[in-house]
Amino acid sequence: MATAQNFYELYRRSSVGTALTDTLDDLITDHRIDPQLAMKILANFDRAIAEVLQDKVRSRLTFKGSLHTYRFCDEVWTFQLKNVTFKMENGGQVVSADKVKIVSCTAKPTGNAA
Amino acid sequence: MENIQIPTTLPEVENLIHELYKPNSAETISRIQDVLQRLQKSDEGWQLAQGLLACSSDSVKFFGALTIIVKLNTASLSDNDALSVLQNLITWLINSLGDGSGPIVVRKLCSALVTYFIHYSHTWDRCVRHLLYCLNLNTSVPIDDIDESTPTESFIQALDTPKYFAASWFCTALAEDTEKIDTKSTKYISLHERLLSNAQDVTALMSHSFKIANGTSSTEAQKESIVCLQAWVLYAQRSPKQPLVENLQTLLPPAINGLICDELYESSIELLTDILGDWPDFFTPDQFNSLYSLFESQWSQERYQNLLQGDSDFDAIQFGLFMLAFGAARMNDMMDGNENRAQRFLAGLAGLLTAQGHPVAEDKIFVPALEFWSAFVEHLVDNLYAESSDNLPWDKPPLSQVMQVVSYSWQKIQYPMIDVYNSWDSAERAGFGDARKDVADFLQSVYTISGLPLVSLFVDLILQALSSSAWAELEAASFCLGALSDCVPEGGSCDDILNKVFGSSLFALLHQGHSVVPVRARQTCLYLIERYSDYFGRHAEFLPAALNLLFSAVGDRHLALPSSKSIYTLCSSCRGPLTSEVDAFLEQYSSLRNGTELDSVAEERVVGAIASIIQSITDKARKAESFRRLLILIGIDVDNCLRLRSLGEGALVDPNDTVIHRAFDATQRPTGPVLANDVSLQLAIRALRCLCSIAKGFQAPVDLDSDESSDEEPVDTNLDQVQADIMGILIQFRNLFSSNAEVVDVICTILRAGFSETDPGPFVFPPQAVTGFITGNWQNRIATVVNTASVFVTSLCSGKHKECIAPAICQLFPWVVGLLHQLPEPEDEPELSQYGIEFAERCLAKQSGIVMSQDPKLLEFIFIFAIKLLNGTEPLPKAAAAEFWTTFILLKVDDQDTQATIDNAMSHLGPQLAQSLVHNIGGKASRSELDRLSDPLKKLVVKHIHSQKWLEAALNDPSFPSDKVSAQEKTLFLKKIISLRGSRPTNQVVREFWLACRGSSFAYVS
Repeated sequence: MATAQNFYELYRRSSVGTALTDTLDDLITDHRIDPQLAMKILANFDRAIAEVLQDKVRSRLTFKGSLHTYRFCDEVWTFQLKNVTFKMENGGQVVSADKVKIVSCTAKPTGNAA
Repeated sequence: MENIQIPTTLPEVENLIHELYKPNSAETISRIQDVLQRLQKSDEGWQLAQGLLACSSDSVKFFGALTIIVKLNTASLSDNDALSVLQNLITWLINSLGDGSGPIVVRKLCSALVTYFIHYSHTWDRCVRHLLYCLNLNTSVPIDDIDESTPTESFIQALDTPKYFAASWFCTALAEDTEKIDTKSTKYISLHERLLSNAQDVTALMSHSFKIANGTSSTEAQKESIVCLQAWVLYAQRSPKQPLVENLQTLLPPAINGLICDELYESSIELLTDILGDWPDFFTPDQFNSLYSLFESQWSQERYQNLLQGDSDFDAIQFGLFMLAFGAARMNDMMDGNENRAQRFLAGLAGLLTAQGHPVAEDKIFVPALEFWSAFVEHLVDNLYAESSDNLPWDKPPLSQVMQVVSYSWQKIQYPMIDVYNSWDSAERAGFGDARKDVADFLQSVYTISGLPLVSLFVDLILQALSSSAWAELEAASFCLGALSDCVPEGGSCDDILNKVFGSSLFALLHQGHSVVPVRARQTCLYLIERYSDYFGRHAEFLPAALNLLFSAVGDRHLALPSSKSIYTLCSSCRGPLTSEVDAFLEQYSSLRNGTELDSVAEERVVGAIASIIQSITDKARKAESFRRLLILIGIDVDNCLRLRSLGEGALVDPNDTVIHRAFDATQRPTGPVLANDVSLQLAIRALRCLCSIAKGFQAPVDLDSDESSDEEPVDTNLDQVQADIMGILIQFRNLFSSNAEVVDVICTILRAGFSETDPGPFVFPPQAVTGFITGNWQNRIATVVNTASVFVTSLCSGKHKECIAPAICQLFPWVVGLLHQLPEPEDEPELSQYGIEFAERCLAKQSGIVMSQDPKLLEFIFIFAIKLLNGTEPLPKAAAAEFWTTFILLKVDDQDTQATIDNAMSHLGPQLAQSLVHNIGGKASRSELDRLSDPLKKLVVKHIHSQKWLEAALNDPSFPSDKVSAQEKTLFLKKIISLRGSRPTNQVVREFWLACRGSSFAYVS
C-alpha cells in the first residue's frame, strides 16, 4: 500500500536538492517539461531521499563539539554547536567546523506516531 | 507499417487498435499511438468512443473507455451534456456486465465513471448510491429518479456477483483517484466533501461482502472489499474526518477475521500491517485487544513456529512483519513490565531473532526484527533518561528481553563456514555485512542503558571463545566489543575489563598465523586493536606486543590493510611512548620492503606511522638520523625511477625484475615486459605517495599546545639539507612527470602538509623555495597548483614568516594572472578560473595593499575577468567571483593612496558590476546561485553612495534579461533593496524578484 505520509521538504536545500531544482528550472526554460511535472519530481525527491537515507545509507560518523544553543519547537529539535570535529567511519578523515547547525525532525509526521 | 494513414472508418480504427496490442516494434507502437491519440483528442472522439464500446472485442472496448477518459480530462462540457455522458457510461457498464465483456473493460469503465466524478461531482454527488440503484434496475436512470425511501443495503443485497464486483471496483478507484487530488486546492474542496458524503454507502457495500454466505464468490467479494478498504483507509489517513474514520473502523474486525482464511490471508495481513505501521491510531482499543488475542491463538503459534523453523515464504515473512508492526504500534505497552500480555508478546518478538538460517541470505526476518529492537531500546532510553539508571531490573522484562536480544543477535552475526559464505551472491554478502552493522548500532544503543556490563559481557565471550578455540564466536564477540569502542568512557574506567582481553593469550594466538586462527577472525581482532587505540595509549606495556603482531601481518595480503591501518592509528595516537621502538620499526619496514607482497596502501600507512613516531622524538640528532634512515628507503625507489627513466623511449623491463614488485601491487602486476617509462612513472607515484604519508605523519598532533612551539629555534643546517633533498626530489618529479594528474595532486598534498605547521620540519620548506617551486613548469592540473598557491598565501598570513608575504604575492600574483590570461575564454577551464579568482580574493582579503600596488594592467585584467565570470554560466567560478567582489567592495585600508586606488577602481567598475548582478538577479542566474549573488549586492548597497544610481541604470537598461517585470516592479525592487541596507531579508527580496523575472512557471517550489 502506498502510504499517505507527507515527506519533509528540507532536503531540497541540500546540494543534491538545489542541483535538481536548477536542472528542473533549465528543463522548464527549454520547454521540455511543465512546472506541474517539476513539482511532482520534487515531491518524489522528498520521498526518495528520505527513504534512501533511512534504508540505504550505511555510512556513519561521530562528532564532538560544544553545544551552544538548543531548542525544541513544533516537533523540531535545533542544535547549534561550536568547534565541532567529525570523525568518519573506519578511522577515516577528521573534519573540523567552527559552527554546525543540526535540525532534527521526527521521522513520522505528527499524529502518526504510536 | 511505414506510414500510417489516419483511419476514416470504424473498422479501420478497430484494426489499428488490434495492431497496437500486438507484439510490434516500439517505433511502430509509438506511431500507432500517435495516430490514435490524435483521433481521441479530435472533435469526433465522443462518437468514436461510442462506436468502439459497441464492438465485440475487449481490447477495442477498453480503448473506447480510455477514449472517454481522455475526452473527460480534456473537454469542457455543459452540465446537461455531462449528464448525458454519465447516462451513457452507466449504460455501457451495465451492457458490458451482461454481454460477457472481460474485467479489463468493466474496470476501465469504472475508471471512466470516477474520472467523471472528479470533473463533474456537482452533478453526481451521491454517485455510489445512484450507481448501485442503476445496477439494481439493470438500466441507467436519471439521478433524480432514485428511490429515496429504500435503504442502500437493499440495492446491494439484490446485486448479483458481477455487479457487486463492478460496484466494488468503482468504489476502490473512487478513493484511489480522488486521493491523488490535492485536498488543499480550493478548486477541489467540494469534490472531497462530496466524496465523504458517499462514505456510508461505500461502507455498506464493503460490509455486505463480509455478511454473505460462504463460497468461492463470497471469498472473492471479501478480497475485493479488503482491497477497497485499503484504498479508503489511505484516503482517510490523508485527511482524517471523524464520520469517515468511524465508518471504516467498523470494517476492521471482519478484516482481522480474514487472517485465518487462507484465501484472504495475504490481503488482510497486508492491510493490517500497513495500517499498524502508518496509522496505528486508526485501531480502537477493542481492536488492539482482538489482535492480542489473535497472537495468543493456536493459529498464530503455528505461524510463528513455522517462521522460526526457517520458513522464508512470503506468507511466513508477512506474519513476522505483522507482529513487528503490532509491537511498534504498542511500544508503550511493551515497555511496561507489569503488562503481562504485552511482555509475552515481546518475548515472541525477541524470539524472532532466533529464526533458522543466516541473516539476509536465509533468515529474512532478522533485519526487520533488529530494527524493531533498536527502536524499542531508543524508546527505553528516552523513558529512562529522567530516571536514575542505577539498579535497573535487568533480570525482569522488558530489560531482560533486551539482554536476550543481545545474546541472540551476536550469535546470529557469526560468519558461516567459508563454503557456505562463498555460495552466497554479492547482495547476500553485502546484506549480511549490513546486518552486522545494524547489530553494532543496536549494541551502542543498549550500552546507553547498560554501560560497562555490556563491555564485560563481550570480554568474557572472547575469553571463552579463546579457551575453546571457537573462532567464529571469537570473531563475532571481537566485532561486538569493537563496536562499543566509541561508547566507552575516555578516562580509562573500563581498562580493567579490557586488560583481560589484551593481556590474554590473544596476541600470541594471532601471531601463530592462519593455520591456527582463520583469516576472518584475525582481521576482526586486528581491527579491534585499532578501535581501542586510546586504551593502548594508556597501556604502553601492551603496545610492543600489539605492534609486533600487526607488523607481522602486514606482509600477508589478506591482513595487510587492516593491520597497516591499525599500525597507523596506534603509532599516530600513541607516538610518545613508542619513540624507543622506532629503530625496530624501521627494521621491520626495511624487511617488509624486501618481500614481494607489500601492498602500496599498506606501505603508505606504515611509513606514515613511523614518521609520526619520529615526529615526537625530542632528541634532535636522533630524530634527524631516524628520518634520514626513512628517507633513504624511499630514495631507493626514487633512484630506480630515475634510472629507468634515463633508459629512454622504448626500453623494456622484464616482469620478473624486482623493481616490478615495487611499481605494481600483486593484483596489477604485468605478466609480460613493460615499458621502462611506465615502470618509472609507477615508482614515482609510489615514492611520492609514501613521501606524502610521511609528510602527514610529521604534522604535529592537533591537540599540541601551541605554547610548546619555540619561536627562537636555532637554524638547523641538517634540516636545511633534508629539505633541499626532498625539494630536489619534488623538482625532478615535477619536471619529469607533471603531465600525470596523480603526480601533481600528490606533490601539492606534500607541500600543503608543511603549510599548516608552525615549527620547522623536513616538509616546512622556506617560503621562497615554495614560491619558486609553484611558479615552475607544470604540464597538467595547473588548477590544483593555483589552489595550492592560495593555501600557501593563507598559511603565510597566519604563520611566522609575515615578512615573506609581500615577495610571495608579488611573484605568485602575476604568475596566476598570466595563467588566466592564456585562457581563450574565462570559462574554458572552469577549475582554473575558479581557483585563480579565489587566489586573487585571498590576496585581496589578506594583503590588499600589496595587490593594489601590482601592475595596473594585471589588476584591470583580473577585475574584468571577475566580471566575465559573474556574467558566465559556470556555477563554481561564478560563486568565486561573487565572493571576490564581496571582498573587494568591503576593502578598507589605512593607506590613503591605496584607498584612493580602490575607490577609483570601484567607481569605474561599479556600473559594470551592478549590471552583472542585476542581470543575474533578473533571471539569468540559477536559483541556487541567488544567495551567493546577494552578498555582493548587499555590500554594494551599504558601501557605495552611487550604488542606487548604478543599479537603477542596470535595471532600466535595454539588455535587462526579462520582459516579465514592469518598470514599476523594478523601481519597487530597488526601493526595497536600498531600504533594507544590506540586511538579511535582502536575500528574500532578491529571490522574489528573480521569480517575477522568470515567470510563474518557476513558482513550483517553495
